[in-house]
Amino acid sequence: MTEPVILVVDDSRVSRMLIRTIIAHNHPKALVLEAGNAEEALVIIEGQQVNIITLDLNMPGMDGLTLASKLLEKFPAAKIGLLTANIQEAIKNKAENLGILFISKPITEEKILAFIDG
Amino acid sequence: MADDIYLSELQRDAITELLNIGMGRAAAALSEMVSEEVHLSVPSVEVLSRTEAAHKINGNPNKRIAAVRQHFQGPFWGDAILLFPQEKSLELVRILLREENIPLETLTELERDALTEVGNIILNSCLSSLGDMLHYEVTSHLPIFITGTATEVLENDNPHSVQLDDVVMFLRMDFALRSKDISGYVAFILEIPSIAQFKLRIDQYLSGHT
Repeated sequence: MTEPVILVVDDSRVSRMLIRTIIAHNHPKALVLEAGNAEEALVIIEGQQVNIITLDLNMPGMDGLTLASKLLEKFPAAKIGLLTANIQEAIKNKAENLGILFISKPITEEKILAFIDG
Repeated sequence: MADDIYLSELQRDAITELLNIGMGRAAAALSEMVSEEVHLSVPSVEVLSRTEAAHKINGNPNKRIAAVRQHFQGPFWGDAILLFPQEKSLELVRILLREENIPLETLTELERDALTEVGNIILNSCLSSLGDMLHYEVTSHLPIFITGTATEVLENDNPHSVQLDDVVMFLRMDFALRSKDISGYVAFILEIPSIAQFKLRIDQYLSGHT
């Protein structure tokens, strides 16, 4: 299998660093695209075929659920994970209704790998 | 007004229990981040002025502290605040990044971002748990990292709307990472109109459990 293109969207630089480090250790050939907000994400995906996406929920500007809908239109086959500290049932249900995975923060290697490889 | 802020023993007990559960979830999240047990205190619930709350946060309300504050909304609303001593914050960042050899310059550069994310995770774990137990959805604003005196930390974004003598409900729980000698606490501040709504939700919660 060719190595995936992974989009990481989170307004926390530390969270993006942690995810990138986990991917680099386990999938060194994967291409990781990072964005600090939804608007940036929509720009950097131009011309890319993204396979896997992790999205923070609560970001300045557009939130992760709204961004997920837009990304699904562009990449209907992409695997999308909503990575958030907001672990309420209401949010889990919204993710489920969109057909994306809900992943609770904090970020750990186990959670990220289970999502990418699962 | 006295009726709005009075808490019966049963209401107080329910709030303490909800905080225990909420902070239990927050502690589990923090423990996952730092790979060690997080010790929690017994929660306290008090109704006092913002000035008194500032004294509770710090015996010397003029001493500088670091905090992450997040405004939340729902049937009741308020501010959730994570507080910890500023001198320990770099150590916490080092633990979070799981790297021993990070240059001090990089650590300092990442401090604000890392602590904001810790605050985001701890406060949201607790708020999410409270929301689920009381059957409503909490919407939280983006977390804000602040350093300042306890009085400054307790102020709202709009300083004109704050009366330091306003009465607030102050819910507090302390946490500690003993091996690292790091401690801090989480406080929730609710103003009077919000306290009345909160009590209503607590009564509904109790009616389902008594």
